[in-house]
Amino acid sequence: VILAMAGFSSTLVRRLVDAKDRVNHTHAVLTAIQALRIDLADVEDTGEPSPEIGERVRKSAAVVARLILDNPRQQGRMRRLQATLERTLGGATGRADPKRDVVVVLTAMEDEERALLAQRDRQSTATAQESFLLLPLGVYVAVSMLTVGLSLLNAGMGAQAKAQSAVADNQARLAGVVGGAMDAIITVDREQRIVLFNAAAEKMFRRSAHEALGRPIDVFIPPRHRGSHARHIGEFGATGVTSRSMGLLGTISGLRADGEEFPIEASISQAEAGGQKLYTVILRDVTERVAAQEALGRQGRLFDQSYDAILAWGWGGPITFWNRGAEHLYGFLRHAAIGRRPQELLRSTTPGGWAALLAALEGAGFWEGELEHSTHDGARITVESRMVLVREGERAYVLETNRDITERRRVEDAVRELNADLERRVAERTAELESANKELEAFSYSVSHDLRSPLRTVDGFSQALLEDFGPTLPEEGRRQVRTIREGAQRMGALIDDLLAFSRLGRQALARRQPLNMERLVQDTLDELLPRRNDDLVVVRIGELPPSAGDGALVKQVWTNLLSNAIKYSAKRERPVVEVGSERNDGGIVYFVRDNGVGFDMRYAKKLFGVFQRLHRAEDFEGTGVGLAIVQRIVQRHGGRIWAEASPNAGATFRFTLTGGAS
Amino acid sequence: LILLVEDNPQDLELALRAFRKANLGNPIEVARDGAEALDFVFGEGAHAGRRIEDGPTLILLDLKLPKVDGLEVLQRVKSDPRTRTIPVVVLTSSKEQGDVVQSYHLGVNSYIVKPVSFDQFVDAVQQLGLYWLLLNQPPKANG
Repeated sequence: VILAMAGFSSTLVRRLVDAKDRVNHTHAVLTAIQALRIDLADVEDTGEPSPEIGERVRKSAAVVARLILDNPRQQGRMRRLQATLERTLGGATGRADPKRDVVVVLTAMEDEERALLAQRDRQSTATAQESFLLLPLGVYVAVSMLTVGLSLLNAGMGAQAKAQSAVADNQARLAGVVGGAMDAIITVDREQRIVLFNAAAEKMFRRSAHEALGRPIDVFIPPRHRGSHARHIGEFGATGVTSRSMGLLGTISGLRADGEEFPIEASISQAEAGGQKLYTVILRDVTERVAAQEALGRQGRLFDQSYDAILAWGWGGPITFWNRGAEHLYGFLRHAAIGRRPQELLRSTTPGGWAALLAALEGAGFWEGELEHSTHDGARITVESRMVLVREGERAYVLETNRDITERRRVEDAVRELNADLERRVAERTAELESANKELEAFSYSVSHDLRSPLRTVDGFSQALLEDFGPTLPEEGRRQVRTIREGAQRMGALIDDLLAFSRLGRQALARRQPLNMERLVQDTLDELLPRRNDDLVVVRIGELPPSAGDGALVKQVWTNLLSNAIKYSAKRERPVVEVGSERNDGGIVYFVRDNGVGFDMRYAKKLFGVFQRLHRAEDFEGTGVGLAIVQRIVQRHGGRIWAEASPNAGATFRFTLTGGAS
Repeated sequence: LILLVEDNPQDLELALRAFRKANLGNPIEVARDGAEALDFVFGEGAHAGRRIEDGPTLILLDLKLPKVDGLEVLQRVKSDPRTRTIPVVVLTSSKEQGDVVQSYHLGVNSYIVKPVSFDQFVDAVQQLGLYWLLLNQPPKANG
């Protein structure tokens, strides 16, 4: 562009110079014409051209002719002028006409040159103006181009510098990343020689980069793995895959400088740089993780010792753990269970609904209850289940422990059924008993009213017979009538006792009240032995602690026991009756002992039965109801009565009132 | 006048014999069932025209009676203002608490269980005669 501008400028200048030359040439032509005209004037003045004048004129004409060589029209005129001039100067002397012809031609030539001058002058001015305009423009363009060129050049150099700086930055950054990485990063060349060894690698293998660089990577691989490692790298290099995890190959071990082996997780990548193939391995020390996994494995084996089924499943996901207890309980082996959703595998149902269970787990993190599950063979079982929702960061899983309670539940159900059945039977029996009681009441009423009436008739008329006809009856007749009366009266006594006994079973016990047992015994003895001091019977009263119960009924107990003691010892020479108490298992045991006829313990079971007698009526009168009444009263107080005796060695009756029903 | 209400002829005979032996001078009117007893007391039926004001002085009442039973007779006598003041003694074989309690609720003056022994029966009759006919002071209006 600059050269073009230079060319352009020089052309411009040349054109300007040419224009000026042409103007000057015209001026020269005009001056020459003027000189010729002056020379011609000399010719006129003399009338006779001298040779000198002629010569001058010719010379001037030659100047003009030489000057107009570039203009053909002026040359034509010049030729006519020179011809006329020659005639004027030579042949046609005296005659003025040739000179006149010369002047005419000369004037025409002068006019031509003047016209040319005007034209050329205009042309020169225009060219000058053009040049003055175009030249600065060219300079400007050239300068601009130069500036642009320079700046472009400058810019080009800046970009190059910048690119170089970015590369440097990237290298620094990469070095920072590699150097600061948590993982060990090692690059080896095709010969397995280390070309890069970062800080983490130094730490991991306990060897400085300075020591490591240039050495074969084998030094960091336990000898037994070296072969397989080299093979693996070779295979990898052949695949053309750029990166791959080495974990797929199983546990990989590293070897520290101090000889310690440790588990690593590795990935490998390959790249070409500078026409050389480089392999980069990124290694992570997984010693802790492996230890944790081993611990988990141990825990898993520990869980296998449990008879309970223990399983874990991801929240909303599949089963991830399944212990041996679960295998036994459900019949699904571990590999069959893991990966399945628990609810689908076991077809779980729970009384409260699965949704409520999940809500409880999510809310409280804990759930406890019963589940119904299906086993592998389709049986439904009941388990007592505990679930815990464990959250670990984003992950959540449920640890579930189940205990089979199917058998327990079956037994419980059976027991419940039995109880229900028992209750039903008790209710039935109670109703039966109530009905029987009512019948007994009606019977008692009948006995009380209807049986006594004929007895009274028997007794009454026997008496009337004796009164009205006694004197006329023989003694034997009177004795028989008296026997009839005794029988009737004895039957009356039996009926009364029987009614009393049956009433005891039916009537409600009076409210328990404090009982002064000493006072009760004294009152009873006063009634039984009104003239005690005169009687043969010796009564010894020991300690009688107070008790509680229905006073009238307890007094009946004392009455019956004491009257028996007196009755059965009455035939002794020195009848002795002892009343007292003992402590037994924290309770008070009252006793009545006599030195009477006693009884054979073989018949002790019959002692408290109704109408059961161990003695003949002619030996000891009685209805056989007294002890039955005593036992019923004691039992209704929650107590117990028992006796010890031997024939002719007396008897001891002991009773308690503890426990007491009200 | 004593009204003796008794359906059993043997008991009746023994009772009359007991009264005789007890030397009670009062005349005895016998009713053989509850209806007859009420007719006599209220002057109705066979006893129409008899004035209520004329007694009896004492009613001895068995409970188990044909037609109208003793408790109903007792209830009728004790609920009528004209007969309410007549002493009524239940004389029965029944020792049933229910009978005893109900009789007292209805306003019976005494409740005596007839003993099986005739001697004791005579004793009882003597004592109740002595008490109700001699010792007890009836209201004047009952004349």
